[in-house]
Amino acid sequence: MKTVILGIDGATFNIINPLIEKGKLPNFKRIIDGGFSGIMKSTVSPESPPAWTSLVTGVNPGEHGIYDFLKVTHEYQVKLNLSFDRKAKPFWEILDLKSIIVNIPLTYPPDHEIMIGDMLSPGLGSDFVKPKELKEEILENIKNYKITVDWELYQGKREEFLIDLKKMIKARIELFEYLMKNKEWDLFFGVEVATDRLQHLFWGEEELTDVYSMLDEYIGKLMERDITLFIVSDHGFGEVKEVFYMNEWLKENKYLVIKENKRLSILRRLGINKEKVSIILKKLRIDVEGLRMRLPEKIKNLIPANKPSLFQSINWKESRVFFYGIGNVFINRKSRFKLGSVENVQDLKKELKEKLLSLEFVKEVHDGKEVYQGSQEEFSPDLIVQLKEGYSFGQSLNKSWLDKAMDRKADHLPEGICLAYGKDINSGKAELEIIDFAPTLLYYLTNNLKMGMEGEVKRIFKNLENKTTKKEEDKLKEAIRSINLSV
Amino acid sequence: MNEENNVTTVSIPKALAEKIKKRCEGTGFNSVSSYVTYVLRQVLSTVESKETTETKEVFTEEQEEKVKQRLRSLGYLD
Repeated sequence: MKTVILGIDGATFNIINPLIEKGKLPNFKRIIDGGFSGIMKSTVSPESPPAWTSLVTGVNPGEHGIYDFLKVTHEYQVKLNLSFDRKAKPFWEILDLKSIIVNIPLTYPPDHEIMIGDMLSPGLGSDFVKPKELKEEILENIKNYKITVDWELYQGKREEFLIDLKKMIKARIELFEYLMKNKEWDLFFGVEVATDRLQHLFWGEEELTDVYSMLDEYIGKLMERDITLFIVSDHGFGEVKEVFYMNEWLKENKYLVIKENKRLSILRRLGINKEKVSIILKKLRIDVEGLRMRLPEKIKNLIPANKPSLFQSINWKESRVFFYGIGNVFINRKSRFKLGSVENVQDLKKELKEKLLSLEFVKEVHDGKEVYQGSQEEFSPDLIVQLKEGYSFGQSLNKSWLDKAMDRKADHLPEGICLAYGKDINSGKAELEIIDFAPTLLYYLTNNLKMGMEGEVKRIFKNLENKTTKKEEDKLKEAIRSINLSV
Repeated sequence: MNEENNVTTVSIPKALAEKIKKRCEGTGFNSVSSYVTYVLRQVLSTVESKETTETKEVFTEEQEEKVKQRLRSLGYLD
């Protein structure tokens, strides 16, 4: 039987259950009543890159190495994590099945037989499809295909944004259907990320109902087919009222020191910045994009950005701690960073933990060493902060370190979803950790347990035989094959 | 007994050796040494076959900045 996994970024029972109670989402309801459903707990930092990667590899970020969208290098450069930064094997590489993988975060550049890259692809013009020939076929047959829709380009034009977002979802579903109909496959895994965008911006509004209804309708179509269907999300979502600007807090508590370029600061105060200059040039009909591409960085940097990027403003020599991502605290360690000064990491961790836990909106502070373990643990954040519901993190500096949420209505929570439906599925409910999904799927598809993964196998399937006994050598070979070894 | 010059001694924790000894029972492995040798051979051959050249450039600076700007607007990056 074929397997289809539909990923919905940020999907949460916080939305699904109330809508079901209002008589909406009949197909979600059918699965919850007659199939398997449960909360699937995300990674410690409930963010898409580590979470989707843990979902597909069955291991924690300490093993797969993806802690965030970005990594900070030894020289304080901020680099995007890409597909080859994933150091553990995703389940489609372990399975001896034809798999089609579409739009899962951290799949650019595409590195699997049939794969359509995600929102970290530079654009439709890039090599975001493998095989290369398939890209033209997709763009010819799926007229409105878009990888992502960027809210900031709409400059507050809400209605246009929502129209384009729904068009994008419709085109994504068309792509899923096109690939399933026209290519050979045993396993199909496609993700829609529009829900995450929407939920950040329009939490509590009718648009969410529309989008979930679109997805529910598609789920209904999938349920009519002779397949095993999984519906998963990487994390949940909840309303947010206030934002904790942790870098501002670190600055006020003298852990983070900011430098300011006097010349740029004066220009900024005079209202001269890149944004304003661009507007003037456009009015003079000068090709701003062309100029931007051709001018050397040194010249471009004579004019300040509207707001300095945080990392460019940090005085690394004097700073002991910095923050980025969802909850990730980094100590400017001598052993890790070029201008790192901190040697006594344990004492500083203890001090930070105590101070943070004294803030009433902080739920928990985890030690990176305890929650992230594996071959990539040396790259982990030193502390991971979790906030109570209703609070979310801000990256930048701000007038105060706790402020009303102005740019978002909701943010990530740990509780995502896992639903399953089909002849082979037992109806029931259970909670899972996100690292349980891949070993559970693998057990269903191959009768083999774990295969080097950390998560538990959840026995949600009917009539499966127990693990077959194998010779010790075969077991070892399999275990070694499933470990992504890198030197 | 060591064959002359063909083998060398490696130390592993006693607890690990005990675990391996238990696993050897009823298999074709006669000793902890032969089990460990088998595993290490497998691991090394896998590592050697995966050794790759430098990661190719998949983003121009412009493209990387475009994606970072997307993340900035989503609040994931300052």
